[in-house]
Amino acid sequence: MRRVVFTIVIVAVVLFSIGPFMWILNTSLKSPQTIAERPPTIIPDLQTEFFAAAVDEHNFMRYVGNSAIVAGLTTLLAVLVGTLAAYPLARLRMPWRRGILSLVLAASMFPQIAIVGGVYRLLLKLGLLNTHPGLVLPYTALTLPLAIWILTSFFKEIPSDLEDSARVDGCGPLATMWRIFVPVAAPAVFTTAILVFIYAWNEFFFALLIMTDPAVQTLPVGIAKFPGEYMVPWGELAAAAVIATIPLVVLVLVLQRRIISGLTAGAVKG
Amino acid sequence: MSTLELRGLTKRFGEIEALNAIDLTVDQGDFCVLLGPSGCGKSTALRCIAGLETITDGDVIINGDRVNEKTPKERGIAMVFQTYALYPHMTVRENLAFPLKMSKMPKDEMEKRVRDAASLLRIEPMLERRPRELSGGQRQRVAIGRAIVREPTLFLFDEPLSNLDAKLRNDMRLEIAALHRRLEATVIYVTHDQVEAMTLGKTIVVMNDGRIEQVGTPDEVYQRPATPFVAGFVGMPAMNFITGEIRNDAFEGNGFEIPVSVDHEGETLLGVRPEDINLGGDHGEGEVEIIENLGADRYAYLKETDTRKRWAVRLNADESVDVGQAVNLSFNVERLHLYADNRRLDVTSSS
Amino acid sequence: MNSERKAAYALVAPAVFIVAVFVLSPIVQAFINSLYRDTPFSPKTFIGLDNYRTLFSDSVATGTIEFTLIFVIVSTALEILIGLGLALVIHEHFKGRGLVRAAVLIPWAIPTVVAGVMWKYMLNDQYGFVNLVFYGSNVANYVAWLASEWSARMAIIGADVWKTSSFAALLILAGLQSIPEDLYEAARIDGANAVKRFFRITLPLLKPAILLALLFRMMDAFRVFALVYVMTQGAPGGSTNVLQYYGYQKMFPEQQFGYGSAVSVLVFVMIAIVATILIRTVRTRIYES
Repeated sequence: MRRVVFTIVIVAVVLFSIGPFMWILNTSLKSPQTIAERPPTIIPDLQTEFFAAAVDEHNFMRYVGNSAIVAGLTTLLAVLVGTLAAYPLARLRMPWRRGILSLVLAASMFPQIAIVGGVYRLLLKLGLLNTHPGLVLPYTALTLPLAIWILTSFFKEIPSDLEDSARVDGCGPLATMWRIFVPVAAPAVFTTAILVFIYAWNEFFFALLIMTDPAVQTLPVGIAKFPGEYMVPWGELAAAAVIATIPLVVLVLVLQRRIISGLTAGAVKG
Repeated sequence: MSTLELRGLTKRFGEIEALNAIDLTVDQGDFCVLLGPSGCGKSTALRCIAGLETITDGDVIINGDRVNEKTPKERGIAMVFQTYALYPHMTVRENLAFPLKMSKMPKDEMEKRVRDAASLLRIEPMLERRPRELSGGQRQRVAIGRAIVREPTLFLFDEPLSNLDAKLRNDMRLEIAALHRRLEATVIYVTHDQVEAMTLGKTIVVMNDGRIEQVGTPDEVYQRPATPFVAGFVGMPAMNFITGEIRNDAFEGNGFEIPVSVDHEGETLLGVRPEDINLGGDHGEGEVEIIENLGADRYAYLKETDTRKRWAVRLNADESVDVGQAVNLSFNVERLHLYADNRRLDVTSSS
Repeated sequence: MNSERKAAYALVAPAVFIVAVFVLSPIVQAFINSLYRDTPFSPKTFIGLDNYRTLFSDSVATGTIEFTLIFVIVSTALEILIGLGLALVIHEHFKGRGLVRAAVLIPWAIPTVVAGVMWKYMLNDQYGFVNLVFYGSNVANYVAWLASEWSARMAIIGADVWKTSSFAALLILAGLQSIPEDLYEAARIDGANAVKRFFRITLPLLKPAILLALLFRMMDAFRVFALVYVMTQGAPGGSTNVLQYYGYQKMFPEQQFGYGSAVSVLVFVMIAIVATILIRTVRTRIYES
């Protein structure tokens, strides 16, 4: 009896979590005829016409490319700069350590709307609107707190004997960081990279305002501004949504453990 | 020439004085053990010698060079840590080679040294493994190997055996002693374990509260402890103490009098080791609370009924007592330790 | 020592620089700009607190503030409740737990824009799954959920709850994992049943984790934007307009930079107040335990 109830609960949890995605996946696999049926059919006829239309007519792979470039570069930059900062914040004796750390963390709580005006004008001045760096730089700034938070909490756990040993063996601070801390904390660095990547892949607000030229727009903007003023092309839109989501679903399925440990890393230690 | 010399070494962490003007000379080939309770400054002293802590005042001199400002690498030292501090992402071979790689040693020389150290420590079959695949003892050997490959002037050991279980600790202790003889190296070894200190040390430096209490051979430290602290810290079970006074060439206290001839009058602390107490006599009395049988030795713990003072007594093979039994005690008066003003009083002639 | 300190500053410098230029300095600018009339049609003039006066007297603005607060309170409350439930389920040991955990993570990983599109389609008046569930083949009764005030508001809140409950669940899961198993065994020996164990042990010990989840979720809820942009654009009649969307409208399409900045400062201040209160509570809770 208990087992039956528990199984029902689990099925409900899974349906709640992936149900909406299944429905959009289902829709994307219908043909233009079945999608217009009312009431909607549950079983799709497994056509790929909408995917073809999204890719060919709406040039959707361009958005995928832009997202990949922006998310990839953001990940590289945020993890690199974040690692550099996290090592001294975790290990070295420096005045203002706590101050810097709390300032960076506070920065992650600011509303995007309060930042975007200044960022927009700065990028305008630098001529970086509608360019990939124009999005990568603010994304790096917005993801650095997360990166520094996770990496600092992992670096703090590395035993200090290891650090002393490296110094006795002839490493300065930089060599200690590069040769010992980064490889030892590689799982944490990797986890940070995944989380930053997901953030940059999904971000919408800045992308909407900074990338007004469709040639450089990322996936979320492409989907939100999908052409069709009066008639929404649901089939193509569903296909586009599926394309944007599949990489994330794969990431989550493969790296579920790491993502959970990364998201809770800072939280548990307070 | 001395290998290591500390002159007035002082280390303060903010308000806290961890080391207070330490002076120490360690000769080539010595095995010098820094012994003391946790927080006595022995590890801080080692870290100052290694260059892992900056010193507040004084000098550290290695092989005649003042090294205060030098980095750990430039001091010609190697260090073995309590947690071994093996690099988890490197194989044993890479761990051993790491310090050599950092000093940009030619490759063939590097390989030769790694090979030699591995064979000396019998870890050749494990060279390609990673530290997590090794047992505690094997990790300890690798950690020592990583120190050996550098052929340092000075080996520093920071409580290297305290993470091992008792049996392994004994084996490794013997191995370290053998290694020291073989390499004719100079070693500074930090521990809080007096058995390690007594068995390994050629010289023991007993530290307390940031100061050196006594420097001496294991025998000197045990037989003639220089201060009440050393007397109480070295020896298991600890020495028994009685406070009293010396008047007219006799120690008075606890209701008895023992004639002594020392150059001192007034308040005095008398110490006597459990093995220097015999049953019967009038130097003390008490009721047996616990009997501890360690196999080779048996100890009785007594409590005096009126003063509640406690005694630890080693029982001779032919002595037998029961818990609850009231016994009288006498001291071996040849082997008493007398202290006044935190100094040992020299017995000028025994009566 | 000195060189260690120099190295430390040198390593931290790039991060501090990027955050200062792209986050901190813009915030300061927003505060300053909120005191000006700054539009392309007239010269930039200092007007003191006029923008804020407009903000609190204009009925569109106050309506927006009202729905933002409703959204924050209702959605975070539901997210914590559902998150707690999800956490309890994925904390149990069972076959395929890894897959269920991955499934729970999927709403969190899905881009918010995509989640908005999904829910808009789920709620569609012609082909929506929700209508199919409620009215089956009776297509004449199908409802345009996003066209009426309260159902549209519920839809936005529901979509957000679906999307972010899993994040709350993860933080609470971490809290659950930190409760020692011994406590439950001791309670069982003392004869406490499952319900008692939940209220006497689990819930009190989860308080720090729940407060932390509340903190993160509340601060994030104030920043809701993409769901509104995709699902309703504030319609019908501004009933689903939220502050971040309102500020965006003023600042960008309408080019009222000063007034938009005032809106953004309001969001900032609201988040700051909530964060300060919650962080204080979290701290004292943690010290108490």
